[in-house]
Amino acid sequence: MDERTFWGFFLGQRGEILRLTLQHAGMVAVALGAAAAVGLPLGVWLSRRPRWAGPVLWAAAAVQTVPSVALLALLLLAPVIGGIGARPAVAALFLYSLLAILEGVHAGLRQVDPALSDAGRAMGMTEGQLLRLVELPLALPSVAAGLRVAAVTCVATATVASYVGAGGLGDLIFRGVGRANDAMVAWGAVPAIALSLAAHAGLSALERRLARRARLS
Amino acid sequence: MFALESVTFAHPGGRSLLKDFSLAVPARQFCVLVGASGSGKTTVLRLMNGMLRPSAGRVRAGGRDTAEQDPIALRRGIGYVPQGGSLFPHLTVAENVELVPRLCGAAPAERARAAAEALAAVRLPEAEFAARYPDQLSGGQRQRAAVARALAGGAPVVMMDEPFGALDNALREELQDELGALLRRLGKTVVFVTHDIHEAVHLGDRLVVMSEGRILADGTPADVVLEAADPFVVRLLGRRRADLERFVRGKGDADG
Repeated sequence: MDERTFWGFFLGQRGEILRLTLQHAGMVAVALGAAAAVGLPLGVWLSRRPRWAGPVLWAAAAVQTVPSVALLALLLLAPVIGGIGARPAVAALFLYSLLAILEGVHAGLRQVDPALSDAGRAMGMTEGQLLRLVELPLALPSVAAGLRVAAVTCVATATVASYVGAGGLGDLIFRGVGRANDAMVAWGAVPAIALSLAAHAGLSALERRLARRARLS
Repeated sequence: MFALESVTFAHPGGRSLLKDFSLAVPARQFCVLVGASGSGKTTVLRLMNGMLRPSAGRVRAGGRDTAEQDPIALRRGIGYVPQGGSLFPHLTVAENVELVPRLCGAAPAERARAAAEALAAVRLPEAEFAARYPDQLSGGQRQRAAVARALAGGAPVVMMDEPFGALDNALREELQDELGALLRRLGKTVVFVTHDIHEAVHLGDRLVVMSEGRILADGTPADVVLEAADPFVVRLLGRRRADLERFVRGKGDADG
């Protein structure tokens, strides 16, 4: 079957499409996991130190304004994480995700009614217990919203990572453009869009569930 | 039980809310602090449970200086009913009520028993209310649950900060009568804060009238109402003075 038609390409290359989709999702998952591992505790820490919140959130927002190709190029040149391959790409995705996650945690904790935190302290909760039993459960919907924004941004940005040899669905898109193969371009774009929509839908559902559990909606 | 000794308190950089303030609340007394907002009554409460530290002077709880006590342990020994109840919206009634035993490390069975007892005491039957969330309760039921939460830890002291402030009059009086009687029956030491002199006279063994961080009158409701001389106290009693006089006289006859 002709691999220049939409279904022809799929039938001929489905193994490759699947491999690149998994590679794409893998990059996103690793970056998102690392950003969450750093962003959650850092967001909690910032909510306790309002003086630091401004500068740190500003720095995270500044990273966001760097165009993704420029950021990838810079990271390509960086020591340790640099070089051709997945490392600079994952580092860029990590940096892009960090802001959304930090903002989600920080905003969620700040939205907790101060009267509730006060009631918790007055009944003898330690700061750790207050965080675990009251503030974090009430902040979770906002944390999930931050993760959702981060995930969707990551799926989109990861397509550009192909430039630095990180693989992913960008490979099909850019190769397809180079060879004027529309079917190849489409089979790079469609799974990327599907991943993005799936991340959005899944994390939106989680957000709604957490909001219901926290009785916020 | 609690004593503020020559306490001065000011927020950092702010004017002092209390100046050379002394007040002792003996065990098992139902002491009501009454005054307008900004009079310093909530500050007194928060000094007693160690949420605030005095700028000068000493606060004693159970005979010991609170500065030398672990503030967490101190607060777990005080049942606290905040303004509006402040039940945690993401926890069921039972989970809210068993929080203090949980903080103290009680086993689940013991926590559940303490919560069931406290809910029964405030007449929220466990079978009907334990699994509900605060947004599934009426205003009065929420206040009952907040009182149950303050009782479940078994603390000898209960502090209440305008607990019935947001309720309509009829409900307010019903809860005052019922929960006031309950706290007396349980032999709790109560420090109750309100801006409503009517509520204060009905509930307290002792009234402490405060304005701008000072005590203007301090005594039994009968003393305060019948011997009111300070212009602020007279104004606070206002048009209801005659009603309140009748009430304290009637109460005196009933007690005598």
